[in-house]
Amino acid sequence: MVTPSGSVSVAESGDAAIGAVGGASSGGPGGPAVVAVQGLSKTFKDFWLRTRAKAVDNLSFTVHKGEVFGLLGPNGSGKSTSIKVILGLLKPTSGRVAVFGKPPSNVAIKRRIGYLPEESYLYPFLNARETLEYYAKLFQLDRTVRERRIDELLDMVGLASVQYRQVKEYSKGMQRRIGLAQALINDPELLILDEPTTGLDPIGTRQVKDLIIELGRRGKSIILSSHLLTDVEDCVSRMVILYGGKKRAEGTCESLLSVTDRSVIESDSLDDATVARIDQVIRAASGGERGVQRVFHPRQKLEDLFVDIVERATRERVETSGAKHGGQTAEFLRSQAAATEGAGLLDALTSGPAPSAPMTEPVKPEPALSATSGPDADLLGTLASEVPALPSAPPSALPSALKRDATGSTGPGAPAKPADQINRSLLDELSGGER
Amino acid sequence: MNLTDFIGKLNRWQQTLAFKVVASIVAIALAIGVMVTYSVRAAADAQERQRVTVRDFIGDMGEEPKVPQAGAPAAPAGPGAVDAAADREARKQLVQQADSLARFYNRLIDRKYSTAGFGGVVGLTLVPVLGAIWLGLGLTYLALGLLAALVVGPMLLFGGPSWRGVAVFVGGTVVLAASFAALIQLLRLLLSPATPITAIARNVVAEAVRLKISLVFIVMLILALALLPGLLDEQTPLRYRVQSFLQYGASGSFWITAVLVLVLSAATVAFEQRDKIVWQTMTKPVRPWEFVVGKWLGVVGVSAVLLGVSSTGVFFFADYLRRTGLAVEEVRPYVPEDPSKIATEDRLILESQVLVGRQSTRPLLPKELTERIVEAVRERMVEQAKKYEQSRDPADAPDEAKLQRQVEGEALTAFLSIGPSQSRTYQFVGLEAARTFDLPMTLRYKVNVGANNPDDFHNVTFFVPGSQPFQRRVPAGQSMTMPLSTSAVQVAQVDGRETALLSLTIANIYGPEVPESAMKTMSFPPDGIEVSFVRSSFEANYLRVALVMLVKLAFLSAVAVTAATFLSFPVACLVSFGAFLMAEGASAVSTALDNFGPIDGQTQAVSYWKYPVVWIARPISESMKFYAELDPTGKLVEGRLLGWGDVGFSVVLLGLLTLVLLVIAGMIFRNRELATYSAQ
Repeated sequence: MVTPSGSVSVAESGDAAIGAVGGASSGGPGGPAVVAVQGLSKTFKDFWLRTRAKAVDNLSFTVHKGEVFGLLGPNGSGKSTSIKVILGLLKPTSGRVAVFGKPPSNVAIKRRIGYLPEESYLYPFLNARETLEYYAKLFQLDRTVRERRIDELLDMVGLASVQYRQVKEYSKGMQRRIGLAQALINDPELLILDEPTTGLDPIGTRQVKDLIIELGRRGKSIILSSHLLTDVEDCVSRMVILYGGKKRAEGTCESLLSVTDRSVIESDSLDDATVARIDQVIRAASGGERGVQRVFHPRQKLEDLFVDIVERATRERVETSGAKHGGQTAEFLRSQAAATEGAGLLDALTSGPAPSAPMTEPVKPEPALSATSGPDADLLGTLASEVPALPSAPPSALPSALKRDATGSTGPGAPAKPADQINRSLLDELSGGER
Repeated sequence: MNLTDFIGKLNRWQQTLAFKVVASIVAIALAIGVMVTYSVRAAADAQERQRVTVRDFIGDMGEEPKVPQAGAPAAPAGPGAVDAAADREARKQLVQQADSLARFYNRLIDRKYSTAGFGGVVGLTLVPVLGAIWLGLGLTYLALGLLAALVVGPMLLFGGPSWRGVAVFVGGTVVLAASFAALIQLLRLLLSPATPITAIARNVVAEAVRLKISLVFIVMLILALALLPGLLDEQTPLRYRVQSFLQYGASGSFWITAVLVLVLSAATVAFEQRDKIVWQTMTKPVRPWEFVVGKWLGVVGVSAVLLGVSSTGVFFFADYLRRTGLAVEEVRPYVPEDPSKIATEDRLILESQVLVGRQSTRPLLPKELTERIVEAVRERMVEQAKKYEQSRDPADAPDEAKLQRQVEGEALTAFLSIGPSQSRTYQFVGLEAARTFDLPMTLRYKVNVGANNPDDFHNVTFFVPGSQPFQRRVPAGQSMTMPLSTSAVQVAQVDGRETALLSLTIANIYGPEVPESAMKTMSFPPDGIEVSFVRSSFEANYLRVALVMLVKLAFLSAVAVTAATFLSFPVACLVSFGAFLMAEGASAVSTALDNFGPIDGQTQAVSYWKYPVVWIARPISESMKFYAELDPTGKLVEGRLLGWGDVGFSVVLLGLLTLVLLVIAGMIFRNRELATYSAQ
């Protein structure tokens, strides 16, 4: 498929494109197991001990160190129940669960976990700062570390200016932000996020996804539960899909989402003649079996438009009593900060390659054409030789993780296939066809 | 800069070190200035101070000793005794008695001119002021104080008596609220270490202060305490005013605090589970028992603050009443209308019976009487067994405990009854401490005669060792008191043991004008006659009372926290309030159960439904009886001693019960599934 747009890129569905999800899958399935769930079943009973619901049925999966793992499924599919069992808030009816090799009831492992519930359950009488202070004290963080992390997190989630307002006065999105901050206060090795973007505005949603990718790149293990498929798709490296408490599918994003019989070529705007020539080249190369199927100009995503408007307003210092556009990822969540804390906490806790650049630093784009390989490489080589020399991709002002191609896929780590071209039959079926 | 920003800036400024240091220096200098001014004035007043000597009571040993006030024991006759040795002994006892009284009165006079009390007040005021400064509340309090002065000042200066009451109320409210805020800040400071228990406890403190449910009780307590002084009737004797204030102040604040403790304990645990906030807490490195203990500690901290504020308020106002209130027949505090009297009876009773810690003792049952009781119980058991063998009626089944109570009651009634023209000697033992403290003892008695017609007066004649017999005319059925000198206490052997003993003979004597048919037997109820003596100061007694109240509140908090670990808020409240009322009323329930037998005494009908009631209520009431009998506020109001033994007993026993409850709560919490089915 050829898209007449500002630059040319070739995204080939298949291993090469997905392989660029460097940050999010740095640990990958090969790392040590952080969470191991084996044959987990959970049945809820009523007062008379009659079975009311079987929320989870013989579920097994493993989350490895450094992996961003997705738990997908429609409402009531057992995602939150599984998470609560992993956290020790529920006891399994049968099966086994181990977190860092220990049972969930072990208090010591909770030092290494951050949890954001599906809704923000906060003390309404505390303000944002007191809330974070409370949770920081539960981790017995000393005052210096505590104060610094609170400042950084408040800045990160954009609540620094309203930190002395009671939480009950916050909007749902603001409460969600403070909920996310509390989940990160201990710089967790395992972050469990249950519907993290619920209630967030597009900027908040983007920041959360940005953060997940960044933390995954840092080697953190993340379990992301959601029924918002774009959230999962943008972030996770592997996932299970649940329905009725049972596992319906498991695998990496590429294995589940790839459409191997389609290719996308993106370039500067092309006239009809050029498109026709390209079509001819493709047909010639494939013996007339393949050709250009669709040509269109990509639309800017509403999310990008929204972010642009808010960023402009922020630059113009427009007043708001709500949450501010959050700052960059908290210093202590980045590797440089870990060293300055003296404990080398993050480096010690993470393994695998941890880029030193902060999340906002643009990642050097992979040479699109060189990324391709396999049977279509010759075809792309031909195309490359027939079109004028291409300018390199301009550096974006957006964080690399947020930088999207024209199709809306996120950063180098996301599948490059256009979203509307992805075979979603399974996901759509499970989520009732909603997008 | 708007007002909010300005206040915020001021708030940050008052929390700087420089401000705290300067403000502290100013506060200390002011306190010293006030103290010096007061001392100079008091020293000038003391020039006129009068002293009481032995001679004021017994003159030149040849005269009739002066009786300071009605009701005091009459001094024995001096010279004229037949035997010289007996005369010397009588004189010696007389001098001892007079010396004891003189020292007591001199203490009263010293209290009047004492600057120590005022110094204590200044010191105790300075401590919270400095505390407020260092807690970062200096400017806030200064503003509050100025505001209160602007409101209260004009009322005091230009308003009438009714405005004065309003001023006291407003001023009291501000002081109590400010003290509460400072103590809460201090508590937060104490709970600032970064541990799960202290973090959870500190959170409970914030919850208590900011949530309406608990704020209502806090405000109610503060307003009630501030309002109370205005409700006292200035026409009633000072001792009753002080007692009323202590009764409503100490007892009322305990009950309000207890209700708050129960509600807050149940709410903080139950609501946290209901609102799912506990999910975020328990997924942090917090052990179930740490959560439970943290919640309990927070509530106990809040209750300690409330108790501290209310107790200090009640104590200082009681002391204020004592110093500035006019007793009956006084022209000025401590100055009787009658110049021949050293102190009025009202003042004397207040100082020696109310604002003290008295220990009391009841008459010793003679050994032969206790032996007769045992014998009588045995005989009745045999009789009852025979009766039951014949009738096989459950109503006739022998019940040794019941018979024991019956026989003891009958024996005691007989022992405490005195027929016409008869007398009986009662021995009060264990009075060693009375001799050591050397303050007048108090005989409290209540005489029952016939139907206790309120218009009936009865003559009671007392024979006290070392004194001439004296007679008092007392109303039937009313408690009376009478001072006794410690010189009447003698060392004697009782049951082979040496003890300090008072032998008091009481006679039921009628004059010759009373016909024999009109003569009646008089009797004392089981708790109707006792001798008490000062064993502790009011201040020390109050401190112990407050400690016991705190231990009780800590226990109640553990009850509610435990209930809320597995029950919803309303049910947990119901259970905890039930436990609280049952514990407070255990003595009354225990007594009531004696008369709640399944067998009707008159008709002998058996009510089988009463059996389970008795089986359940009896062990519970008996096990909680110790809690009810501690009765700290009752003892405080009556000036009875609450000894360190009682305090230790309550700390150990209630502490153990509290520990057991918290362990149970921790186990319940550990085994509970805190999350629920999301799709519910």
